[in-house]
Amino acid sequence: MQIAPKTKVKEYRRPVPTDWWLKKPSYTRYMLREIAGVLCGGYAVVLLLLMSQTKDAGAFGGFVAGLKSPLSLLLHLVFLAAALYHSITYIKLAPRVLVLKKGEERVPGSQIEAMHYGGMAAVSMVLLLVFLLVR
Amino acid sequence: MADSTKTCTLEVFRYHPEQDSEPSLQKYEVPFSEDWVVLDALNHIKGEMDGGVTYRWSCRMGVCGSCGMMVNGTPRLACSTFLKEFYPSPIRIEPLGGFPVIRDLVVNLDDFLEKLTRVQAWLIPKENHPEVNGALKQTPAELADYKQFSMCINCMLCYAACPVYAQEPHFLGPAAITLAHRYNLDSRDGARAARLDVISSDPGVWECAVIEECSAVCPKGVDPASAIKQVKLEGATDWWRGMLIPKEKRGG
Repeated sequence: MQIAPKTKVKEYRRPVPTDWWLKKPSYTRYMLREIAGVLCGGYAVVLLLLMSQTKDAGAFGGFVAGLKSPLSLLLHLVFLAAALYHSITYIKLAPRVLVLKKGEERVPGSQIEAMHYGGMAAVSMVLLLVFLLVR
Repeated sequence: MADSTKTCTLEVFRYHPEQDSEPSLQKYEVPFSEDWVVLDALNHIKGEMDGGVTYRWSCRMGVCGSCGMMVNGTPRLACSTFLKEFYPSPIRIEPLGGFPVIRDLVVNLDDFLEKLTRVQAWLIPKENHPEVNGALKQTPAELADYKQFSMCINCMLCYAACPVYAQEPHFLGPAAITLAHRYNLDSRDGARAARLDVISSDPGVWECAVIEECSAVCPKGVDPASAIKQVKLEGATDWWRGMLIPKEKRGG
């Protein structure tokens, strides 16, 4: 038996609207997370600029004074919120990515999340200690 | 039984390739019943009102994955979506998002089927796997490793929910990657390296932007987003192993 060739029909492709990311809360949350990542990167640039001033005490002092301005403090709050949002959404994903086993049983997601939060707290404490020691 | 005193409005996407350059929405007033699903309403339209309405369906019980369509903008199985969820508001029925439309609610699946073939979504047995009376056996724990991902019914709701696939159709997409991962996790399978080459490549997992709507719409709780992320981790780990350990010293 001979199979008839496929007929080519004129297919319709629906356009993707530019505001697709406003169509569902999950899409919007994704976009916010991406923006939070850009803000975290932006803060890394601020820290690099700060480090670049360390050889010149006067310039360093001026830079630090600028960081204490109300606008800078407000920006720091925005950077902090972005870093927290990015970290929390990242850690929330971890149990679905890491397949850890204890014997034949999978380690519960809550334990994997707790391990991540513990790690984050430990690293933050070490950084804080280093900061207090070199101050 | 439908209550003849109550009716429900369905706005159905219509596109006839020989006659239309653009699709349109056609309204139908169908009887409302507490136990009617969208598929019942479509069958009523086709049987009693307009025989030209075209759509796919088969099992009527959420197993075959044929009747996926957009219901008020969200990918759903028409056989598992009750009218009462939306009543008395109108219900907009459109073909699955992201795919080219052939006619009315029917989309072209060729791209997905080609991708399933490309990722080799079938068991390729290990040469040395022990056979018992001709069967490749595994323990319940080995089954548990991949069972969740084997529940995929190829309904493609995950593709319709994925904005990356809609904009980058070369992306392998959630179901094809999940099914490839399912076989990579199978203790009887021996083709992990070949599959990983495909799913961990450019049109594979690295296109995924972790939006996770694929997992939200999956009618079987497969969670394709987690499969994709597991493959990302696996791909990255393999890459580092490749960088750090000489090929001849690597096992597996």
